[in-house]
Amino acid sequence: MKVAWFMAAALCSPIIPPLQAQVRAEAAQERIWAKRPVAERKVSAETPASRQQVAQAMELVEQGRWSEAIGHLRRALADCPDGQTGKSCRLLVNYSLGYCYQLQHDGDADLDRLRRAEAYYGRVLAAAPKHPATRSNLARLQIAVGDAEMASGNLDGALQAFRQSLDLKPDSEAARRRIVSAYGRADDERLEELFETLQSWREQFPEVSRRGYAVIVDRLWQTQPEMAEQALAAYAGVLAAEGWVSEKALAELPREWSPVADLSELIVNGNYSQDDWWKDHEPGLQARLALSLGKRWLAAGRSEATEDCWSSALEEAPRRGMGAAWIQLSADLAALYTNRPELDPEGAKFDHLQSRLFDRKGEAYRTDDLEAIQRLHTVLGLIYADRDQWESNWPSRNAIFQLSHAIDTATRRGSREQVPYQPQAQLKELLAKGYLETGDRRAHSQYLDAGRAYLDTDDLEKARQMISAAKATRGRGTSRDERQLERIFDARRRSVEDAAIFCPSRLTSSLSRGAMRTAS
Amino acid sequence: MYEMTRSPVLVATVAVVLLAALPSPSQAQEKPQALVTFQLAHPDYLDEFFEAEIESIQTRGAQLLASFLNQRIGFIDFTTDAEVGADHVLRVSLDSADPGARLPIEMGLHFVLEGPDAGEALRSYWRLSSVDVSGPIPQEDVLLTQVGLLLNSNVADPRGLVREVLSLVRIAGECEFKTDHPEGWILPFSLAEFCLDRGTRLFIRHGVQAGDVDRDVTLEVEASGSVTEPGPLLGHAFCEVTNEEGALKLEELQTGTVVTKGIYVIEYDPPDDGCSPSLESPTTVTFGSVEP
Repeated sequence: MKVAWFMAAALCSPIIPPLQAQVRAEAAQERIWAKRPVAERKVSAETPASRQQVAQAMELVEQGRWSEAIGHLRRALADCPDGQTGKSCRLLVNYSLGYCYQLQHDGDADLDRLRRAEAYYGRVLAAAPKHPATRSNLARLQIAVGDAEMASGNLDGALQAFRQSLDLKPDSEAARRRIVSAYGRADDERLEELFETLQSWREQFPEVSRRGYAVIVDRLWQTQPEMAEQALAAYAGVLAAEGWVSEKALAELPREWSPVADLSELIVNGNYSQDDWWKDHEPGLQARLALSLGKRWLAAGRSEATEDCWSSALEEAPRRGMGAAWIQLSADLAALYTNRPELDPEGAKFDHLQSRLFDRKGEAYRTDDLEAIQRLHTVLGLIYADRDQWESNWPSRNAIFQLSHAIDTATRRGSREQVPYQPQAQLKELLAKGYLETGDRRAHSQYLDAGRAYLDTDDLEKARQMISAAKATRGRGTSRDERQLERIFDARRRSVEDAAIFCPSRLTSSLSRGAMRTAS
Repeated sequence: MYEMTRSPVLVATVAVVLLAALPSPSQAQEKPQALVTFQLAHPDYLDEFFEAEIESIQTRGAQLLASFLNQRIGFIDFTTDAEVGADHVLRVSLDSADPGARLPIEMGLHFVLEGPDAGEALRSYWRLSSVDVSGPIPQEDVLLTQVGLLLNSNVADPRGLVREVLSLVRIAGECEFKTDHPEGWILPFSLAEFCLDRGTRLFIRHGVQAGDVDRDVTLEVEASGSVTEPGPLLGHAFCEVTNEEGALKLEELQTGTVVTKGIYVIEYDPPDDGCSPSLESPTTVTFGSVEP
């Protein structure tokens, strides 16, 4: 049907004069119609009548009679009353005219129809700037304008249209992809501008950013290697963050350029080059790449390759300044040893890893680096909890010691460094579990503490579970703390239920926050 | 860098090099079908549920996934109906990030493709969650809600799935190559029919026969527009070579008789507004408080 419309449109449309002249002629015609005595106007100025005219025009559109539909709408526009009374009539008819021209366009590179549609939508937005359907149509229209400008080689015009589309629809990937594509054909000097843009998109639009960085590398590796290195490091950073690290992901980059060859060697064979060109651009990049790559191999059942990849990365860590990323790497490697005992039958590899983490923690204490101290206690706590190691002969080599120190350090950071309050709900819950496992009477109060922390994170379901767990760990009677927490919990639950009367989704979202938390 | 002249408008006569005729708009090209299955793979899950529950979860999970994939990937028809005889099977399993590990530290969805051209390496993984420290396995509805939440979160990566797994699904077997300016391929469907935005990258595999020698030539192309010349190909998608390597390979196509062997999507760009976007009709649009 649609194809038939376009063919009919092509046959019926008169030869279109230059846009400006045409638009002027249309406006003059509308003025002439508007000057007719009201009695002569075919349709009254009331909205139902203009709706009726629009409906008639849409029937003509359905039959592919574009020119008649547009003529009909122009007359309807002239029939709209002047001033405020006619505002809604003018909005509707201008929207309809924009719609007709936009629909008639559909892939045609002729800009005239698009510009007409743009002009009519512009009139709607001038009176109702936030009108969603007009903004949405105009966002799509600007993409078509940009595509047509690109086809005619007008890159600046294309970029301007794509940016306008993005202003109207800020989450548009299509507009972003086209902006990248347009820069891909622009002069080399403008690629720095693209790089800055990509840096601001990177987190929210990794796919488009990856492509943009690849464009910069491809264009500049021979002429501006420093800029290309920066883009390559950012490209690799996106791969690591999104779990896209693979040999295939490098296929679009120039393999003959040595930094790409370095990256490929690292990803394919786990070999580190001597040249740390990425260190200044993306601190910790190698550790992040190794983490991502190892996880990918793990999912594919290649646990030995993962172990090899992660342990090699840790060996490199002291020389390469991997920052905080190496702590995560250590935690994941320790978990791998726990879950795959065959990789470390004697436990020697785990011991080595553990010693290294303790050395690092000692260093953090010496330099009084509270952030690192907290992070290392947390990681060690999680590692030991994973191994069910709640107690030990050596006082610090167990989960209870490490978790309680992690929680205490977070509190100290709050008072000393004005770090915002950290609820640490999961650590508190884990510590309570440790107390329970070891028969420690502190389990009760620790579960209550975890319950409070979950309330702080708005996770009512987990808070309820913590209160139940606390009840199960105490003897007879109810403690004052427990009653107090229950009262707060009940009040919070009631407020969510009250809110749900007005907004049912709030109840669902609050109760399923636990599931949401894990899923995200 | 290969200089490409990209034009969405084709006005020149199409020089047909390839032999098979493309379907006209009235005979729409059918999308390839893929059967979606969902399996609870981790032993902890299998121990937790009765057999009937497992079957129900797997059936509902497959439906959830097929529906999600149909919304997000428009060039394959995902189905849960085993009777349709789909060429490919997309096996999705809920398992540990490290299948076979002693303790699950993280659960997620593993995707594996089976069917023509699908090798062992074709797999993808989406992280569902870190296993909750308090550990109970959620009941059927909650579990499926979690899977649904994952699909609606930014962890779900349909384009990554295309890149890593679905890029070996042949979406069509025929196309027309036009040799006059702009050089390129006319595909047997429109961009809208297969839910592709401009910029989508495809592989086109050709067999080139010159004398006794028969060789494969695969080119990477980019969907760059649509045919607007009235005629049977009006509205069909048009693709062009956009890189130097492709430009060189183009020359190889001139050396013998060419047959298209398959078209594959390797980098998928879906349209912003989903697979069947439409402008809001003036007959239904409202202007809120502006309108009396």
